[in-house]
Amino acid sequence: MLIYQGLALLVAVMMAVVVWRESDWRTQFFAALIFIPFVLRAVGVK
Amino acid sequence: MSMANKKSALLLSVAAVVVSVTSGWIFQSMHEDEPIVSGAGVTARRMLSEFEGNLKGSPGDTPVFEIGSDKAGGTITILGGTHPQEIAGMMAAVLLVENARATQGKLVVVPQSNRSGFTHTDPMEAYLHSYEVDTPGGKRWFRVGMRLANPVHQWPDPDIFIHYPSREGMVGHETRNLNRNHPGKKEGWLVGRVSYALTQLAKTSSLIFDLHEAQPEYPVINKLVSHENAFEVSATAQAMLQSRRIPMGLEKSPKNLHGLSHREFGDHAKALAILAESANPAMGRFRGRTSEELVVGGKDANYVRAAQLGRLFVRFDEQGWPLNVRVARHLAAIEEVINAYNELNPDKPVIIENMPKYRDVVEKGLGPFLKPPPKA
Repeated sequence: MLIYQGLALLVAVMMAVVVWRESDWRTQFFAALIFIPFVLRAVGVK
Repeated sequence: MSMANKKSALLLSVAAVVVSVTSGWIFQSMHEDEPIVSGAGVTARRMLSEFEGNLKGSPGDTPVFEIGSDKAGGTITILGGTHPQEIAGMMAAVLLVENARATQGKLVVVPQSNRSGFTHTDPMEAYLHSYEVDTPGGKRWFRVGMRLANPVHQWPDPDIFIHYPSREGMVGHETRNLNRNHPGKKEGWLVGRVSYALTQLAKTSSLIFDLHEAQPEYPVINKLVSHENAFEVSATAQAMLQSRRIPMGLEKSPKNLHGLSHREFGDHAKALAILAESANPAMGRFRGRTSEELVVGGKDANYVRAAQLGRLFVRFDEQGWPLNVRVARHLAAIEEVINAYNELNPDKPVIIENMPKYRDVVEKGLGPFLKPPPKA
């Protein structure tokens, strides 16, 4: 369970970094979309 | 990065956090316990972990209600919620907990056998999280859940699930299916441990009866499935149900189909093992929108059409298969199984009173047989 949450948290953080590093708002938007389920999984709710 | 792009990054980050927190709150609310009220006949409320200690504190631990008596007799165990979205099984068990009384022997009821499965729904299936039933004392709510345990509680699934101890291979996600894990394993994955604890409970039982539902296009529907050790009981019960004009089929538990309660509790716990199936259109592939009308009302135009085309294994008309009718069928099956057991085991009977009657549940619905919602 901890490994599962850790991996999900890692992906969520990576996506948040992408949102802040990308200059095109469309790429930022797609990264933000992917970020949502991984945050949920990282906190263990889905 | 330009100022405009910083603004869009900030905006999207805030939006993503808002969506995550909101969805997280909704998903987290699925872990709230649904209230099951102990009726006057309940003499003890235990947890399943009392039968296998290593389940204590885990998401698989679940309440076990005992409806006991002062007079020695047999023990009959009723399992609901083995597959949580098969809601008639859980609801029939709840009606027993809230109404039944024992005058001889003991009735043990586990309404949420796969408790982890009550904390989520089938992904991509747009299931209801919960539904409500009107009672004279106010509305009660119950969960829909999913047949498998929550992957948050048991992850990852193997590519192939090897059943213990038969070594039968199954598709990987069946590792989270309680009714493919029996007789379970003392150590290891969560669902295997839940199954092991239920097997210990079954070892204390004369008879164990597992309540299920299935889609109307599934051939094993409105039937009892019986281990060969329980065939006299189940055949007698079936004959009595048929004589009451409650159509009920009977299937023999296949000897090489492993992990199921009607096979493994008979083989490993030496209890008389029976399983019942009723027809739930909310589970089927033909269904329309998974609304409360479908889940509770059991009505679906697609299934009416499928029945007209002869594609179903049960009748299906505009009346559908409402939840109260499916629960009434389970209760009638329990009543006749207990009667048959008592007839065949007069030395250790189980005498149960005040069980809701088939006709009353069909005519009045579930509400009159449920306690008022407990005060927060």
